[in-house]
Amino acid sequence: MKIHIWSIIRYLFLLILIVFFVLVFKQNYLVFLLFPYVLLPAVLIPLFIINVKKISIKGGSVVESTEVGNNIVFYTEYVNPTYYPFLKCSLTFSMNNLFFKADKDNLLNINVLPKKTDRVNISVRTSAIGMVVFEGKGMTVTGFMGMVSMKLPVSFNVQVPVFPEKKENVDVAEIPYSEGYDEYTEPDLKGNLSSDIKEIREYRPGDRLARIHWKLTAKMEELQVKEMERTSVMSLVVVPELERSQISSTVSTLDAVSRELANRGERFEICLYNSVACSFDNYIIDNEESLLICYRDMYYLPLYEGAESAKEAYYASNQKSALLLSVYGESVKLLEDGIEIDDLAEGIF
Amino acid sequence: MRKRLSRFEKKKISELEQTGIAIDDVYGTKKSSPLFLCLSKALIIFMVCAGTVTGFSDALSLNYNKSAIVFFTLLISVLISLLYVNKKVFYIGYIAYLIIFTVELLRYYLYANSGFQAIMNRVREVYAEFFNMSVVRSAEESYTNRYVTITVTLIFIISFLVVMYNITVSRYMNFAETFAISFIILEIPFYIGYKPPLISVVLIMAGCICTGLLQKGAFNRVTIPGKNAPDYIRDKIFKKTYYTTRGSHRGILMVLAASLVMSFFLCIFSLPIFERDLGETPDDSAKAAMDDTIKIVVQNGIYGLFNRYDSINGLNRGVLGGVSSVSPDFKTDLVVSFVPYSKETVYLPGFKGITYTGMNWYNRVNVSDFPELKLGEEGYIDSSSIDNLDYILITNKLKTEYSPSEDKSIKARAQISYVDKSFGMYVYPYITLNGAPYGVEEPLYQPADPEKERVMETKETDYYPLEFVEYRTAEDEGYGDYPRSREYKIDSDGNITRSVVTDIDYPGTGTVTIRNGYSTEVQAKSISCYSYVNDICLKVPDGLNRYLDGFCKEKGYFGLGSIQEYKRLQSIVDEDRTSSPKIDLPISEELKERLMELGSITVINLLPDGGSGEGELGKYLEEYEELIRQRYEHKEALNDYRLKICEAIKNMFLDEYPYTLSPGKTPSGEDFVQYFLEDQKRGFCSHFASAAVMILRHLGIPARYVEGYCIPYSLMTEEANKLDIDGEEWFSGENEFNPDKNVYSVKVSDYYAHAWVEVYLEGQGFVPFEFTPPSYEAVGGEEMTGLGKFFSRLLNVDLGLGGNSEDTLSITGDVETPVVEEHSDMNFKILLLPLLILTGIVVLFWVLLLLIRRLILEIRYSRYLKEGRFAPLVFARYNELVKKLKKKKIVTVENPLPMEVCEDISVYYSDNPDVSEDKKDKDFRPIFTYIEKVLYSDYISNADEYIGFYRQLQEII
Repeated sequence: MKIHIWSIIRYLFLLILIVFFVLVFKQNYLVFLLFPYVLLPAVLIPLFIINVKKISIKGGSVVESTEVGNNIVFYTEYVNPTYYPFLKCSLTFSMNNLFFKADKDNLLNINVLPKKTDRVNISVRTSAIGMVVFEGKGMTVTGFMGMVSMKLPVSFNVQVPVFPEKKENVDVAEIPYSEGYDEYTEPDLKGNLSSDIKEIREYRPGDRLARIHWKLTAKMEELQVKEMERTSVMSLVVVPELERSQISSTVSTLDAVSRELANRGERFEICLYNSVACSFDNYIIDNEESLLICYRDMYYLPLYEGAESAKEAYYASNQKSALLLSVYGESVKLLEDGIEIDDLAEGIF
Repeated sequence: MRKRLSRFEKKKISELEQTGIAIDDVYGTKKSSPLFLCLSKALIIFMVCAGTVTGFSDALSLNYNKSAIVFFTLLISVLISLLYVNKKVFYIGYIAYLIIFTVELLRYYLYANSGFQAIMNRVREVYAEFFNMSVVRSAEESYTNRYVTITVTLIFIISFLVVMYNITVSRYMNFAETFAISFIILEIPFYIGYKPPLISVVLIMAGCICTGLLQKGAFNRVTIPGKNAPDYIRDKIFKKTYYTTRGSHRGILMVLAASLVMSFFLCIFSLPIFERDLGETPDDSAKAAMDDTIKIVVQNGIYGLFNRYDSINGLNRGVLGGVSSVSPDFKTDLVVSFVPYSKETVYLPGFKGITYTGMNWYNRVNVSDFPELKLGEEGYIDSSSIDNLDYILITNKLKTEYSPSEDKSIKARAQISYVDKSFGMYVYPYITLNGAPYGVEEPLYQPADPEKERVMETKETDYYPLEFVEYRTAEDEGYGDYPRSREYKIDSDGNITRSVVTDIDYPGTGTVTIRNGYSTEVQAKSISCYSYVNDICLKVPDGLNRYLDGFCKEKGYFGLGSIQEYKRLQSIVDEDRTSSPKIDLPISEELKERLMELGSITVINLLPDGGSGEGELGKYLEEYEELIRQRYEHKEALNDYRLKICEAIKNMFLDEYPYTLSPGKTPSGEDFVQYFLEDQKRGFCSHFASAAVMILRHLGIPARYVEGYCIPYSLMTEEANKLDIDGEEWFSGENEFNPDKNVYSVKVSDYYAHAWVEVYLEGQGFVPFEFTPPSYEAVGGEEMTGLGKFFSRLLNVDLGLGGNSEDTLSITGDVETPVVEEHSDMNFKILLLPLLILTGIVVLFWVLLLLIRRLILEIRYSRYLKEGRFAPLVFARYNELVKKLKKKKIVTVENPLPMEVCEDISVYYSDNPDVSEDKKDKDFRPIFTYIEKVLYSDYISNADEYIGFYRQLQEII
């Protein structure tokens, strides 16, 4: 409990003033003023202290997620089981989009009426994708005439993701999967040839020398070629660049591309780059749900400054894929072994 | 057309751009309509306002229409509180309300003013009754139907009060301020123990408790506050943003109901205390001081507190010009204990003015003004020199029977038993008119003498005899009494002279000590009494003399036609004076020889009736006596004529020059008397006394100006009543002196300070004469305050109101004849002065506000510096710079970035030929880089760096 000295001094000053008028100027009529002044604080402050701990407050959101541009309605719900009204309650809360976190607290003044459960709604406009977090940090309840106050612990954390707007009629060009890999490529590359042999067939012109099954050729006296099993079915990895300035359009483009690819029945992965931990998380996208899960996780990732770090980092890491779709802003680039082979952006927008 | 965005909308958009989100609205689930919210606040306002106004009016028993007042209070409360429904309504509504209020006030100005004056008159009445004072001020009521005028006025007062309450209730919910507004109004009846009805008290209390409970609650704000600064910086400086839900009207109503119940029970419980007398309080001095102040306000208005005589208490020591109104402070200056003598006013002269300069009276003479005077020995103090000393002496103008007995008619004794500390005069116990201090030489009281007790012990020996013998008023009959006791001297040549005539015979042989110089270099000189009377007491400044010449002619010598007769009489008396009465006394050689031997013989009481005449000598003495008698008759005729002139002047004052306590100041440079006679034409005692002295002197009658105290009979009886003494027996003049029983102790406050005239009568000396006409202000003088007068004049002149008020009136009730104020003497000069003063006050107020604001800001900045919060500090300095540059039109964009400002400055300096080379070459970039670093990054500055930055910043400006 915090005692506000200034409020008490102010109160005492007024009290002395009235007593002065009553006693020095012999004005007994002013005695009635002493009643609200002496009686009310004497009764109300103990009542306040007894009852204040009984109130509880929690937070929530009316929607689970929303599309960018729509409003999110959060609410704080208080329960006051007592007959005492708490007319000055200040809820300290923060409201942040994790991508653009402004380290700023807000105060919400509410009045908690007696014997009541009520909500205060906070409508929030959104203009960017991201995870909107409504976090309660504590509530200060002030008593009669601001003389005492008490800080109640409040801990709720409500998160509502803001998804990008769905784009209709997106045209993404056909992904040209290329054949023929050289023998030195790592065996465990995704969408690449694995060490398992799928079949052995006769040599056809154009087959790489590394693929020739020398032992069998020696036996069969005919050039035999190993047809290798691919390491996984995935052949396409989408890497969005989580660069701060372009994040909205990047996610928007990513969403458009992903949905189009998913519609086509292509199986692909979204690889999210955590620039702080320097790690990658892969999300296999096969339906909308998996896409939203991917977004949700993406919203917690730190953004970085400067262009196209994820792509570079991806190639620098040991995760290598045959085909990589780099999404940055409104541009979508198809890369094979780090070499740009196509720009798909035109097809999208 | 592009829609103009509000500040809050702009803020939201900016937030959206930066953070991707912005809080749009905060509201409860059951969103209270602003309308209901305002209405519930209106109820609180109504309760407090109605309680205050009805409580005040009922406590003072004002006659008004209660239902109309309650209805209007409710109506106005609802209208005004609805202004908070939204911003547009707020601004437009307030302006509209102000216009309507002003227009209606102008339309019903006379009603409102009359009602207001009626209320004020009632307040004065009850206060005067409470303090047992006479009502010396009473405002004029144009319409006398108080029922209507008070109701109208109360409606206007409510219209104003509701606005005040709307601010303290709807805007802030501030208990203390709400209470203060009610308290100030209710204190008026409270202070003197007038009770408001219980219902009013309950209403006020309920409203105040409700405001107290809702204070700081979430019912207050209707908008989201924000500072006018770029958001990115603001976020860095002001960490928290406040949001407030719109309150719920159900909550307010619930609290209001609870407050009503609480206040009802509290009032019921406190009723017994209402009725109880609190009895003795520890210290009454505070109350006494407050009472004194209130008395001044009741009698002279608030203006009275600021405009008092600033010299010694009631007396002004001849200072005339700088006093615009007389506002006594009612503090006791003297306590005079005495045995009363008659029912006439007792005068205590203090200051005697003999030299008039146009703005002041001095009790000294500038000797260089009278080169023809023959000065005697320096430092010689003659018995009659008391006229020039600065002290209170006790005398009166009582009619006494002259008694030749030895005890000299000592029938009363007096003592000044208390002197106020601030009293600036010597107090001598008693001084006879013609004698030195009687019995004692040391004063009882000296100014600024800390050793002296202010309250003198009362002992019988401290009562000094009052001799009322010689100092008779001019109005008394027989002033020129033929002397009954006389001695004759016959010298060897046979000349008869009267060796002693009377004590107050013509003072031609005495001398008077005068002081040279008005104030500094006091140098005592003694001059003959003749010169004192006929030179000094006839001196009129030349300019004024010329004016009075015309003035007297214009007035037809005040109805006397001319004063030729006076001049003739004067010349006869002058002739008498220059030649001594002489008869040839044929005496025998034998007697002659005997006389030669003896030198002279004295013959006593050879009365004309021949009672003890000594043969032949008696016949001659009779002849001689006849000559003397003739001379007395000449003097008597002259004195008669002097008094006739005095009466004529007094009558002129009575007819043409009304008495007022606040006639206004004499403009500097103007002659006080001339301005009074010519322009001002009204005044208080000093005006009348000064003017009368000057007119008398101009006509050749010696006169002087006197300031002092007068104790009226009413004051004596008031004291006597308190002591339960039968005063009547005292007036027999036969009482034995008994300090325990027979003494009146009269508290003489500065209210009884007065100025009058002493006219010189031949053979009698200076006798007091009252020229001041009686005051009629008590029964209805115009006594508005300066501002009230100003507005009333303004309204009547510019809007032509009030002229036909008699015709337009048709008020029911007992209508008395309306008194319509005359405004024909409208003077724009008078308007201009208050206007200038008002403007001056407003300008001063703003300057003061700006200075205070600056001071607060500097304190805040120093705190920031101490706490190491450089971001807000740098931001404030940067803002100041931008403001100054904007004024000089160097920067034109709103919220410019530091580098933009830097560029603008560089461009300005390089383009402007007037700028010194130093500045042109100076690189301001580091300053702005510093600003950028502090404001936009996490850079933590230090004090030295800031001080360096600040110095460089000053260079730019």
